[in-house]
Amino acid sequence: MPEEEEKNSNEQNFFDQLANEPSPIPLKKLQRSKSNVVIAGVCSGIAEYLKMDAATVRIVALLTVLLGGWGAIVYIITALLLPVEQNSKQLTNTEINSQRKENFKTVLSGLLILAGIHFALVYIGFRSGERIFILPNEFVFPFVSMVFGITLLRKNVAVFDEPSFQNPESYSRSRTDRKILGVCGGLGKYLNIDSSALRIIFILATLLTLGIFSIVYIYFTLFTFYETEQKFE
Amino acid sequence: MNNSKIVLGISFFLAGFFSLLKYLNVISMPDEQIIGGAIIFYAIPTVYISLENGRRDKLVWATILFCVSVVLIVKSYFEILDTRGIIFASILFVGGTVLMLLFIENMKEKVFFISSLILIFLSYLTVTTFKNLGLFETANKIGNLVEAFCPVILIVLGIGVFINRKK
Repeated sequence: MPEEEEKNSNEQNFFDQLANEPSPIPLKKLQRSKSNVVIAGVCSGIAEYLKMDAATVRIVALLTVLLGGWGAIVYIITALLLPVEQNSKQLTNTEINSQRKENFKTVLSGLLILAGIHFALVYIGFRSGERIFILPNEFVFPFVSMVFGITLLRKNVAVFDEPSFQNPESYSRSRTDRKILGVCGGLGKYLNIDSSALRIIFILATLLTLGIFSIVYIYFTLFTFYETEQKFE
Repeated sequence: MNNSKIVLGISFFLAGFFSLLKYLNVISMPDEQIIGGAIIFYAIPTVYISLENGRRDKLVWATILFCVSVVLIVKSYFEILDTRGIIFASILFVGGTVLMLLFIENMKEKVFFISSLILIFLSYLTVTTFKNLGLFETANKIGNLVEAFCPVILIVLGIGVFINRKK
């Protein structure tokens, strides 16, 4: 009898030891991300599980809207079912800011591609322009707008806009970020706006005004200087 | 209220709320007025906050949005036969307004002031003198082309933003 007891206790110890021992291969668990969130962290969680880029999963998720809006319903159900990750990565403020910028650009690019494909399909005649979702647009858009508004309000009630201390004092054309004469590059730096977005706006405005808008470009070229060169020792 | 995101949230909520009321036939307002009103509600405080905080990027976008919303509301009240024609003058006027506000934000930069005056004056000329020269017809043709290629432009823009998202 004591032998049997000893054997049982040894077995119990062995299983306890096995349970407490860290696994050499970490077990992958599908869960919502806590550190990289746009809406509920579902896409980021799936990307971590599949070892993919979160941006790619987000674009694919956005494009599912073209399938009648079922993707949005699947997203909501997944967000409700999946647990939130417990040990999230600790990010510095700089990392958080760069992640926010990247996420914003990802969503913006997804929306642009989505709108482009939608209009192309409407143009060809494959889709009706009146419905994007299974419900009529007149109901879906106001609802989404209200939900988005409430979310923004809930997130930012106690947050204040921080003043920008990094503004350059004067405008100068850029030497480093230039395609022709550095006007848009300099303006992008002065305004803290992506210079390529400014270039696109300039080109579109010039085209739609038959070149009249380019007077501004010429004026800025003639009456502003290049930024001073930095000297490194 | 010192946060443009709160204002943005309220604007989205108001736009959605009034659109929903319109859908339920409680009110009868054109979409342009609802969207235009919501944008104006966002743009005016944001310009004020941006001028206070020195956020030039937000100042530019809020000014553009304000001008666009004014165009939307005017378009809903008055019957404008040549809707493409107003785009021609609007681009010049909006450009001028943005540069004027940038001058107000930093009065040392005279280049913004003079270029804004040039653009606003040109926008005035386009609706008075230039209109008779047949400029709008050519601009309309280009506008039609842009509209036809709009999906391609949007997709290319989207891919461009996606590729450069980490910059």
